[in-house]
Amino acid sequence: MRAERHLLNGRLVPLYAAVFFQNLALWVPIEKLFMTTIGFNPASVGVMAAVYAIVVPVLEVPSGVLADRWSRRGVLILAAIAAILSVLIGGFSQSVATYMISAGFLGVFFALQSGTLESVVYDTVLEETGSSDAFEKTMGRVRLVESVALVASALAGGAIATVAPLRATYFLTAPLLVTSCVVLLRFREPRLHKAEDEESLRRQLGTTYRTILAPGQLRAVVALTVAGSVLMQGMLEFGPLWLVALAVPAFLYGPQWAGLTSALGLGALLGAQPWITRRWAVGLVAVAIVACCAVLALSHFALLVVGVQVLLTLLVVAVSIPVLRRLHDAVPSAIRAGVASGVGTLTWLTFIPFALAFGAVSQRAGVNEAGWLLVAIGVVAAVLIIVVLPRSPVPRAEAAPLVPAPAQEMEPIFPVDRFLPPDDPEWPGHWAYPPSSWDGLSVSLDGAEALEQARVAIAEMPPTLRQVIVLRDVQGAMPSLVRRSLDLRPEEERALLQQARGLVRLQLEHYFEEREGDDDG
Amino acid sequence: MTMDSGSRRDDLRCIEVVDMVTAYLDGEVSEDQRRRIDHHLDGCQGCQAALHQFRTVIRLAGRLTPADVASIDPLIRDRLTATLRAPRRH
Repeated sequence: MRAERHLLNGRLVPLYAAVFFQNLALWVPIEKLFMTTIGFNPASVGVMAAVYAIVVPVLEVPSGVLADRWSRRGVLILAAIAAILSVLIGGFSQSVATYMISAGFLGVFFALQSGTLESVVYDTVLEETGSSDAFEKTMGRVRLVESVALVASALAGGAIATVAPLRATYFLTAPLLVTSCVVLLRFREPRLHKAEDEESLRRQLGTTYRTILAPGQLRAVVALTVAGSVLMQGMLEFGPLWLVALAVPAFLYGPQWAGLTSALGLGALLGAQPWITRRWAVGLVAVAIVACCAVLALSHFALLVVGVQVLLTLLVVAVSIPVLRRLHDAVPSAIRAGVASGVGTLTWLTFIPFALAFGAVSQRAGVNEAGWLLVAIGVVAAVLIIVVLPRSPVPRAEAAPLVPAPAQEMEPIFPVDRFLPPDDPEWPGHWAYPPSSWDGLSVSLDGAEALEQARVAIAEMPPTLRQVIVLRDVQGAMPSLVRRSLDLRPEEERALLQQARGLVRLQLEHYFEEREGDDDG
Repeated sequence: MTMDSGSRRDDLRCIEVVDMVTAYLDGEVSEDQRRRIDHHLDGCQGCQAALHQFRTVIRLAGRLTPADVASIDPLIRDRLTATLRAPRRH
């Protein structure tokens, strides 16, 4: 196991390095300041944020398809190229219009990079260790590398802006992105992904929408995820507007951004603490979130504003960790990714009007007044936090009773004509065509090919059956737990499992027969 | 016909045994049923093969991960992490 981890870490070094260079964005801390110098006002900042919020979700799924059908490493390199174009266009920008184009390319970068990076990490872990157990730890390292790079670039960007023109930070970022491309070429990408078929995507999306929109506690979990994401995005996107309004010197932008980005990492650490879901902690966090928003609506003190922005980001991220667990727990793994994608889309759909409203109010009445929009979202989030967090994770049956057991009679796991008829004078109901023994086949029963057949059989079976066999045989859950969480009677669970195992058996039988036939021929 | 001479006609039929294979493997049959199935298996190569095939299925499934078999996973695998990260530009 240690040797596997060692190999895994060795293989991931180029990826870690690439992530580091991709996140060294020297221009980020002074972006809003630079934007005001080329003619942006708060309203057009809001429009730009909304444009960005449209570009990313539109490109997310196509970029995922590209990553799966072509190359994930290739998509990460394309992402870096989009980022290079973004910083070059941004650096040369003299007007709002050209800067919007730069923001568009940044959206392309983010859409290409997000999801693809997680998939590369997931598949590399799986390929090197044979299981996904090390995924969280590995992904944690990736996040840490990102956080360190963001904090470093925030401080460096702020410092550079005091001795050089603001646009220099854009140009200096380009060679760092080129370095990330070069480093990525040294990364050996995993090859576990397979082509996806369109029909299953449609079916999956249908189940996904029903899951997200079904009444029950999952709705509150989804709403809290969306509200938290809007608050976090609000801080990252509009936080610097307070500094612009308070006319603070340029060098303060770096620490402000460093504070916000380090809050992302620290918040994740805080959110992993078990006491965060105790009643007293939940109450405290809910009140603190509303209080932070209120300070942003009322205060004119730069240091207090920056401190509160960092605290708000930290609290929202901390809350998102147990909320993430509840979302995971409430959704069967077969539709988990789809639900995640749907929640992501909801987040963007919510953020677009929020960004436009925030920009408009900020332009007309000032950023403090726009802060009342944050207060409104903060109050909603606080109520949802109090509702969702102190409860145990949502049982699946309550959250997703969307894949009911089929009403019709199950197919027998062996066709009836493989048995002698009931009126057979000698052996009614006994084998007419018994299954052959799989011992002594030329194909290995435990080989990669047999495993792939089992995988395909499970992946392609109806969701109801897949749900049960994944819980029971893939994840090894006890029958009682599966029955409770899927709200199945013992005989229903047993019948579904029997059916699911029977389909895998049939797939393997066909495969072995074909292979043996080939070998004989 | 694969029944050996030791089996009695009034014993379980193969079609009944394969129907109970999951319950049998999960230890969810009564003691009496288990004895009868064991007795049947002793003399029936076809049902032995069926049982062995089910054990192979369980063993193979145990080597997979939920992500391997989630049909949409390769497309948007673990976007959940990305979802919470998505609403920020950097």
